[in-house]
Amino acid sequence: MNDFRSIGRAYDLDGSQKLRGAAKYAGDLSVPGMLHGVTLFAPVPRALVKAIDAGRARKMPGVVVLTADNVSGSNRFGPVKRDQPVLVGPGEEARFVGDALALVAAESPALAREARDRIEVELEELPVVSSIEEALQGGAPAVHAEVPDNVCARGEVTMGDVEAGFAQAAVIVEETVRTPRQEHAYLEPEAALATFDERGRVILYSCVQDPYYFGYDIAQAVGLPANRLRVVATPLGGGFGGKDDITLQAHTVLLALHSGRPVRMVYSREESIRAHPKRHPMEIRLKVGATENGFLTALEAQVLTDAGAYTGRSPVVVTVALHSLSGPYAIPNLKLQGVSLFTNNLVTGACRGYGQPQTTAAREIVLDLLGARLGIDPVRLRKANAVGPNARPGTPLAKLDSEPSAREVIDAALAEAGELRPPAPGRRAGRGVACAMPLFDIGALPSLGLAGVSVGVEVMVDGSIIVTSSAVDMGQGVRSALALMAAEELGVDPGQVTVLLGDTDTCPKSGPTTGSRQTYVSGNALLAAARALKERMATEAAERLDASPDQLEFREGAVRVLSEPHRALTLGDLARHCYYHGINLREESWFKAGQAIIGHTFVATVADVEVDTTTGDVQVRRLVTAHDIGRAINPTAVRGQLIGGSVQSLGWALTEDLAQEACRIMTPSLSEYIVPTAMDVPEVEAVLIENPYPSGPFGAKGVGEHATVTTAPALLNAIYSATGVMVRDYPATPEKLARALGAFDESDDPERNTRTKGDGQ
Amino acid sequence: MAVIVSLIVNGQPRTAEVGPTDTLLDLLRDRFDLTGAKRGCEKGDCGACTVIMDGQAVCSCLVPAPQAEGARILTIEGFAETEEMAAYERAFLAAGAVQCGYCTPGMVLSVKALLDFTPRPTRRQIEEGISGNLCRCTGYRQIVEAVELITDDAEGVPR
Repeated sequence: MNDFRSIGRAYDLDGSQKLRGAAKYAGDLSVPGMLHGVTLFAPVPRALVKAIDAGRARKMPGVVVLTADNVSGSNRFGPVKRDQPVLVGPGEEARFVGDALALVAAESPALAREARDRIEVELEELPVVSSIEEALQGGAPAVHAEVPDNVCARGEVTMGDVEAGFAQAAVIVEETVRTPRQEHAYLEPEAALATFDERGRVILYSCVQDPYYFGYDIAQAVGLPANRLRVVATPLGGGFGGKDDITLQAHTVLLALHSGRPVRMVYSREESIRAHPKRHPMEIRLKVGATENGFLTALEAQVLTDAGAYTGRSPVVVTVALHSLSGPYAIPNLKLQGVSLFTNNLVTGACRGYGQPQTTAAREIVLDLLGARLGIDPVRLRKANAVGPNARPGTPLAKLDSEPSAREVIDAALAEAGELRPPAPGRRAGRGVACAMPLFDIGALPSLGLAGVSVGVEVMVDGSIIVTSSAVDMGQGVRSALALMAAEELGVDPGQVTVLLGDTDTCPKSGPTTGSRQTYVSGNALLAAARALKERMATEAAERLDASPDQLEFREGAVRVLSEPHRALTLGDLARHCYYHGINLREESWFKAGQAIIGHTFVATVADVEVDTTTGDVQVRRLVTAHDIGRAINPTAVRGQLIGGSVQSLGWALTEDLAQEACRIMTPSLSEYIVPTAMDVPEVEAVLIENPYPSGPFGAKGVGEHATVTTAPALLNAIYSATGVMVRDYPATPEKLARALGAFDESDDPERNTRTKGDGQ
Repeated sequence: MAVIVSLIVNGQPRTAEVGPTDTLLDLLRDRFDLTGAKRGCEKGDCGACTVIMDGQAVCSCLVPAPQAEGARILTIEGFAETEEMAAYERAFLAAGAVQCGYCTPGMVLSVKALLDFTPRPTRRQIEEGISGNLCRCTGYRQIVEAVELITDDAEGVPR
């Protein structure tokens, strides 16, 4: 049935340029007369700025210094609430170490840094709110005076009667799980070049995930009409959500406007780590009830998270976290509450998975603890509770519009994983499983500019194709995916398709490249545009081929009569005809999602580990992740998303923790913040299950984030299976494990072991 | 105090005046406009700035520019012009070893340095050979597979 010609091909339109070092990232761009900009960050996490004296810096030749007084717009930005200052001025409060106090531009980065060192700042240091616990305490300082209780956002989801559910339970497990703040650690630190076009408009070239949002939020913040700012996304050297929020881009535009010169800013690694929003650290208190047979009767949860100094994306992340808590399981009674608290820590924002990795990390390890209490195998427990065709899934957002496949992905992952191999001498082996029902955005939600997606398709006079979308490519392969889909629909070779991305002047608004959405939303918008063009072309071709339009198909670069493929008109001939006869072959569609609110997919990961019980060293032997992806438009790229996402999650599970003490960063660079290297990566395999998704383009679902959701808990469950130790505070570092293993072997005192020791083993 | 440095870059003799704190990475990117070597951390943690200096893969951010006096440097731009590159390109694309691409030039040159010394590395030797190059996108598996494809290609036999 699948006689696709382009869909399902391995295709990479950008790879050669990148391999040859010819791809130009934002920090690689330079133009004549360009100045170099640097930022003066707040030297302490919280302070009242009393005065900024830039007199000595401004006296240096060719040096431009800007402070808040120079900002003529709102000087505020933010994706949900505009409460983050572009520059903090005298009389205002700096609320975290990523707040900017002044900007400097000069002929060289060294000169700009020298000028920055001459700026004198008078500060009155203020007491910080350094943790969720502190934020909750009565009498804690208010991070924002107008929010005395430090509550940034709240959320609640209830279904059924949770008390009645617990009354039916034979066993109730209560646990608290903590997940760390995660740094995206993309290899490319943020960079931007702001320059001018021949009309004096500003062009901002930068690594951004949402050119339209950056354009309008920066324009209002710096006081430009939106039509005076063009944003062009450069190739992203990794994004993972971290480049969906404004950092140095508004600063670069300000410096260009005030100096009248092109300005480039490039963050160092340390500046990148202090400035861009992180994955929300969470404390998740779970109470799960089950019958003796293991059927889940009730789930109660409190999710506490650290918003950092500004609102960022907390309201949305809290919502997604709560709606993902019950996961792929039919739990009849839910009471889920979430709160995000302001602190003086780093701002939190979008990070691959958007709240779902945290809740899954908690739920999936608690299920293994529950299974141990009940004496039920973790796989059986999951399959018994999996959402089936007739079971009602979790939350209001979880209205399924396709067949659930939790059991199928679990079986597929286990089949691929095979038998658990015996451990090396002196080590213990274990296997863990985790399952989830991750969400992906389908373009229906009004928040964050997600609703409504436009893509342009044009058939040029020679039959070649141009596709335009403001989606951006960060290595996930949206350019190649759109080329494959356009080629399939219009019946041409993918080599005939040019895809232009991420430019607010030349591409229509396709919304952010986040939420695993662009293949789905831009794909659907592309199909709508291509079909409108085909209809128009078919009308013209029918007349010339003496056939009716519904007898025609677009195949192999031509329009052909279905039963007689030799009766054909090449796309080039047809396009030329349309060119001279006033038929428009350029279409910008407008796609809005139908009934569903959000898309779902099903994922299971199997992890095999070996643990050295003396040192706590964990060797990951094998990861297998199975995903119901609807349809693989480009299987090689899909596999890349799944394996790469799994390894990011492995890092978060075992080593990564962007720790802060007294609101200062304890892991300020990649020397201290440890991400996996090639030596840490096990055998990883991705299993693609293609159950076509009814509303997806060619049946495709979103896929980009989902491998980051299940790998971490699968690993902790594997360590638990190997050692009997369940770590509740991610990451499971050797130090934590060695301590727990020592206590496990040497002490009988149950009180001492309650934080990390497993029950029921 | 400025210093004059003369070196061979991609086979061409080049001379430039550098500051005492400038690195080889500064020299390549800012003077010679060879931006294939990337800035990722400027302290040798990430490997994105890897180039080949006198046959060895080095983090160009850790090499003081004056120390490159007389050295032979191969950057990705130079390697891209060689016949050897064709096999690398085929293998990396076939394996899906390129995602965002920011680590890629450095990764390619680390692989070249590895294969120059160890033409038929084991999987573990490949992992060790690229362990100084961080990649946050691929999870490394496809890069290791690409290296295996290159060595298979060279010998005309699959392993």
